[in-house]
Amino acid sequence: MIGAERTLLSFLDAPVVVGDPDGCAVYVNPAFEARFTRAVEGVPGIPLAELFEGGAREAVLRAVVSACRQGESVRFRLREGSVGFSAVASPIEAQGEQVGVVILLKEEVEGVERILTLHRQMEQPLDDLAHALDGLHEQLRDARPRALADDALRALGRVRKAADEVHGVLTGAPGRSAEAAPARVVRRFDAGALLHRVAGRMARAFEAGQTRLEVVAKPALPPLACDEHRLEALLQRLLEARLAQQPPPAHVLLGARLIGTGSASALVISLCEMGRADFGARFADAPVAREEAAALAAELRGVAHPRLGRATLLRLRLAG
Amino acid sequence: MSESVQEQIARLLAEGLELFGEDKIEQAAIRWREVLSLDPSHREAQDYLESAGLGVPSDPTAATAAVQTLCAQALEQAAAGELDEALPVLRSATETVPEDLELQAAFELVRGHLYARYRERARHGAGRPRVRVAAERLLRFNLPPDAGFVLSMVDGHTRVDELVTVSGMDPFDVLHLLGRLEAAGIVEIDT
Repeated sequence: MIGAERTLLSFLDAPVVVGDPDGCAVYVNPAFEARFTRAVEGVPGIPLAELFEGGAREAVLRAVVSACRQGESVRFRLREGSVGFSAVASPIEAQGEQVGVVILLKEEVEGVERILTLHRQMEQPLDDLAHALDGLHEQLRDARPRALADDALRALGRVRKAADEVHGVLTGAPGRSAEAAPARVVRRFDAGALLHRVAGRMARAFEAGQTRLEVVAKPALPPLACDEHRLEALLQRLLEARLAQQPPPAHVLLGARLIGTGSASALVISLCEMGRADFGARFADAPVAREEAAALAAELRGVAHPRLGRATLLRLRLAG
Repeated sequence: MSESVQEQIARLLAEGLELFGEDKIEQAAIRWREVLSLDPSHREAQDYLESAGLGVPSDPTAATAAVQTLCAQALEQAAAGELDEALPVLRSATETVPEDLELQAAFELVRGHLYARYRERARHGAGRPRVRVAAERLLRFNLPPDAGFVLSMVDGHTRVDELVTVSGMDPFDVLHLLGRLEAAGIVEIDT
């Protein structure tokens, strides 16, 4: 069976990997060999994990496990060097049993990041439109105009749902349609408490990875006003990506401090990685993280030094 | 609590001259430019910059390039083990251009390494600092207010972790001040 597929798949421009139920690669096509030179000479028989590195490795393994467990295709994204790929991992079934998994990778054009930017730009106008229509609906007394406002609100709900689904497909994040999730709540919150919460949730994973995680922040920080859940998810994503590196850093400090003065002051949340890891490597999901930061009206930047480590900073506006 | 603008200017001018004397021109320039950010018409700072052949930073891109060079130099200095020397350079630069997030990240990286070092020296927070000098001698040290505040809580019984908690300060700042007090022979941490 593999032999016949090999003949057809060899003509594909898109990289393809076929894995067995034990998580080993049994075939990679020439397009894969051309783009992912690492360890291809070990195929067949080499673990799938060894064909990829860093965040890409984690993304592939997570998708393969999920596809095999659910028996359904899983879409995900990964980055090899400077090139991003959209990928789909599909289980291969024969006589009711899963006999392997096929991963198809498609090189991303810059359009994906452009679409993510457009999605972000759409969010605020959609919120404004919903607010305006809600206000209008409350003021209208006549049945006909109220019905029109109802129609407009329903249509807006469909647009928002579709936009969120586009975002979900591109990022792998679940959609945030108006029906499926509560409206985003922007309220003042304590950044220090949030850092401790995220670190607490990640503590076990960091222990398992033999990486020391510490929170370094004064107890009373000025409050932030942004989407708290979104910020929490972003910090968790950043920490997970750092832990998924091979090898992971020996020590990660999660900090927060105030910078600037007066109206120019802001809060920076920092992730400082030290020891053991390859600090020159790029994170596969960096564009998504930047996108999420932008959606929080925050700026994400960092520096890396081969011996000192890497510091990633997120600058956030203060409440009020 | 903090020094006045005039005191800050006097300190920055003096630090700049000292650095200039050590041939650390870019670092000196940062201090003098900081003086100009506090007082744009400060004649002395302008003269120093012009005498050093650096000129007054009318071009913001040139100033940014100078900061980037300084940032790279400070990181190399830190990587060579001179963390204590790199920190004030980056601190001063971040105070001058707080909006430069890459500079802030470099500062954070050096802070992170120093934090790890201080924690180790303080037995990961379990160490108990105690004052080594008599109370009347402390007055001679002319300590800055934040160092005096930390010192006021040092009693030989309270652990470093507890000091950090009760101070309400950034943990790095407390450890840094304790490190400075230890280096000055004012405090010792049991090992």
